[in-house]
Amino acid sequence: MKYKLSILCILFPVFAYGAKLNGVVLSEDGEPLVGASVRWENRTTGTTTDIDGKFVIAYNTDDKTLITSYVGYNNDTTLVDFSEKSIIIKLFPYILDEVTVTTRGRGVVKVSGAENSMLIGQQELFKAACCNLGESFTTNPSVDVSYDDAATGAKQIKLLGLSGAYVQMLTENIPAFRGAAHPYSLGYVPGPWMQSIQVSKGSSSVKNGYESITGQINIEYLKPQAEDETIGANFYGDSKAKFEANLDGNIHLNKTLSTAFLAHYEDRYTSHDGNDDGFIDMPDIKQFNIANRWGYFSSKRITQAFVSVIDENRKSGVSSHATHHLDPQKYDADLHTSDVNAWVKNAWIIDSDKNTNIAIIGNFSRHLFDGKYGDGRTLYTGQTNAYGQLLFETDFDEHNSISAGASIVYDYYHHNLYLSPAPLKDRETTPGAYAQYTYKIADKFVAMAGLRYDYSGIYGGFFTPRAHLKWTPLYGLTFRASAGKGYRTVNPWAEYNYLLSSSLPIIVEETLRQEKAWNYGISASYSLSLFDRPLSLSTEYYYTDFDSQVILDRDSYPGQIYISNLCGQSYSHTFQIDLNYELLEGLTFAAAYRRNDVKESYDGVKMDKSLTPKYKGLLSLSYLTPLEHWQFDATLQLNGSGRLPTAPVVNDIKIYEESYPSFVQLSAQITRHFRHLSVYVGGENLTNYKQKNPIINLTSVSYYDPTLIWGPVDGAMVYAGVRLKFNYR
Amino acid sequence: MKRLFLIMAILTVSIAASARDLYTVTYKVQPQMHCENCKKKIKDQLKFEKGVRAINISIKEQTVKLTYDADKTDTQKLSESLKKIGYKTTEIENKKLNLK
Repeated sequence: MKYKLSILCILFPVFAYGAKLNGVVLSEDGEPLVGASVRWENRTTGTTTDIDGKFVIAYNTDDKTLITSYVGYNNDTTLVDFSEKSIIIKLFPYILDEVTVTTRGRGVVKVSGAENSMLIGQQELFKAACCNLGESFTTNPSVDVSYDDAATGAKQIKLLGLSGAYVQMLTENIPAFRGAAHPYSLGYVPGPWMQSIQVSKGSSSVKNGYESITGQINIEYLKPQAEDETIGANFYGDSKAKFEANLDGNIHLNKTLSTAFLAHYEDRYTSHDGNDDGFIDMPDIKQFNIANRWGYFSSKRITQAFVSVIDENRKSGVSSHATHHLDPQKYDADLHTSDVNAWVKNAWIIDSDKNTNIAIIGNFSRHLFDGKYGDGRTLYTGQTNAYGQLLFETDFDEHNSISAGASIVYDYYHHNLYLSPAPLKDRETTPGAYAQYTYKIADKFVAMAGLRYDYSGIYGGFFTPRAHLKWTPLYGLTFRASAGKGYRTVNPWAEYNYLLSSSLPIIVEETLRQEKAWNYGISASYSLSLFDRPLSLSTEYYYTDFDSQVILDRDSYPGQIYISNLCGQSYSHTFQIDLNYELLEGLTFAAAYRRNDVKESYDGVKMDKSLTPKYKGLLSLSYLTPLEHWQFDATLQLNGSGRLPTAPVVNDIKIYEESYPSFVQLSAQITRHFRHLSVYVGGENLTNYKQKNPIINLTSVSYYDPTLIWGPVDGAMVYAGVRLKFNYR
Repeated sequence: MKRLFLIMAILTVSIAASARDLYTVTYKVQPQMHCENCKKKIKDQLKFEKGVRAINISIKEQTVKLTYDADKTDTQKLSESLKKIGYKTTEIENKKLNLK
């Protein structure tokens, strides 16, 4: 906490007695502060205020300046005028920045940095079944989660109307789930493992590399060093015969060393075919996921290490009790994934007052994907990634700070595709360096500018400039602006492997360029107290403009999939407005609306990007009883209509429509909390909306396509589960 | 949703009606509560304590105000519960709640 000068002090006369000064310490709204400490400057002892905030302090002739401090408030330094024998000292809370910590502690908290980001905590995550990362955004208006492919259940998130590939995924601030791991990555982070998710929109800091274009999502797992030593478990089951079990626990081995274990198992027992199209609606997924992490925390050094192993099988295709007599050999998909990840972070704290530290981060991951699709199409992809980062950070004074560092990214891809007998290999090594400067006037203004230079073994050298501004002109009112560039290397077979479940020919342009895009954004947020309850309102506008992009083109040649370099314009405009209000004690209401205008050029012709809704609306109500025993949550989601890729024509008839309609989805959950236990029941897609033909042309192998997914493929689902948490020490 | 609130309202009323022996005790706690976290810790400890009907914690006043059902618990039990998580209590006031 930085020392801050007094903001207000009022002196007024009361009668005098001896060499003693009396006074009262009040909060900004005039409430007495009990137990605030009051002392003379240059003295170590002093006094504390009583239950009415009053104090009496003796003084000598050399005592002039009174220092008042209280936790959660800025220190006050008062030059005492001894002609007045009583004094009123007003203290101001130092959390002037964002009024987000309400009496109840909201589930989503706006982060006070220069970036437009929000922190989704466990309280919010537990509002939905939240089996994994992909399901964590049900109650979030900014992040869309959609299926890519009905057959294999590949899901992706969208931010600012653009594909999740343009969002940099981080786990514990280390880039994760890149390339080959991306298509099914939303299933790799079990919900109960997560402590929080931070979503930052727009250009990010240059610290974590050049890859983020539309934003960053950082996942923090449960911490071994958490104050309490606990054992937790979560069991979940739903009406689609999915079962899940999660275990977590942490141990403090001594004052500095701690470890945590995380385990996850999921299985879907039956192959349900609710829409009776002969195909199972949801793939049968069997996943094991375990992790172990360590933390060493001392005043001089922080070391953290993490290792995780994932093994997953996905089976989909023809339902065994189908009446359609489909040939499983032509449609069944059988995918196996294994993933190993390990990282170490080490930070040496040189001067804790100035936040001076040096950190070194090392990460290794190996992702193997083995897919067998219908009609003999196979794909084997392996990606080995190594990442190293060295960084130095320090504050020069209370206004100026710097962060600088160097990094190296190594990616090795090897593919074996049914189309090409010889394995394809790709290797990219990218060393780079960055510097980022921050100028800050406490609680009022932050300017952050960063620049990095990286040298890709494939594409050569490139600069990444990014800048952020934050301005708080009034208490509760904040403006933010950002601009920055981002880059990405596309590995089509690794990222678009879900397309192999369709029978359409896939043609990949021989030399794909590096993707380059600029992102600009402005936002404003305003928090106020309306009828003594917190209300927050925010609006934002983002513009992403691609200089170069690898696009999925299904329009130039209907019935074929082209993965090619962009020729023409590609951009996205998004505008969003959010409102949050506590209607009654414990009852919160949230509403949000977003417009997307996303265009891409196919063969030089600019069109709406297909499978991208034009708008999205969200309404949610959440009620927590005063003693926090019961919790009720309901979320209504309005998904806008959009365009479908140009349909191929068979016998003069287009085989599917040009666009898809808007639809509404409702989810709700009731939770009963007990001391060591929470029981929840809920439902998703309670409006029972289903996309009518999730699989295009399923009776014929030509044009068979389960990848044109815009809505839910399965109907209403109900679930129940139990969460246990024991504090064993 | 409407029905849900109706049920909630009936529940609340019936709890209030059935409780004849409600008291409100105000404690001052040691060590000091500093922030929302301390507040949360205390609330989490007390909210599942038998007989507790309402919790009001003020960091500004450094007080914990509890409404409890005297048929189910007493001030000793409540103060012991706070002791478990490291807070010593000084009782400032304990008065019967007037339900008219």
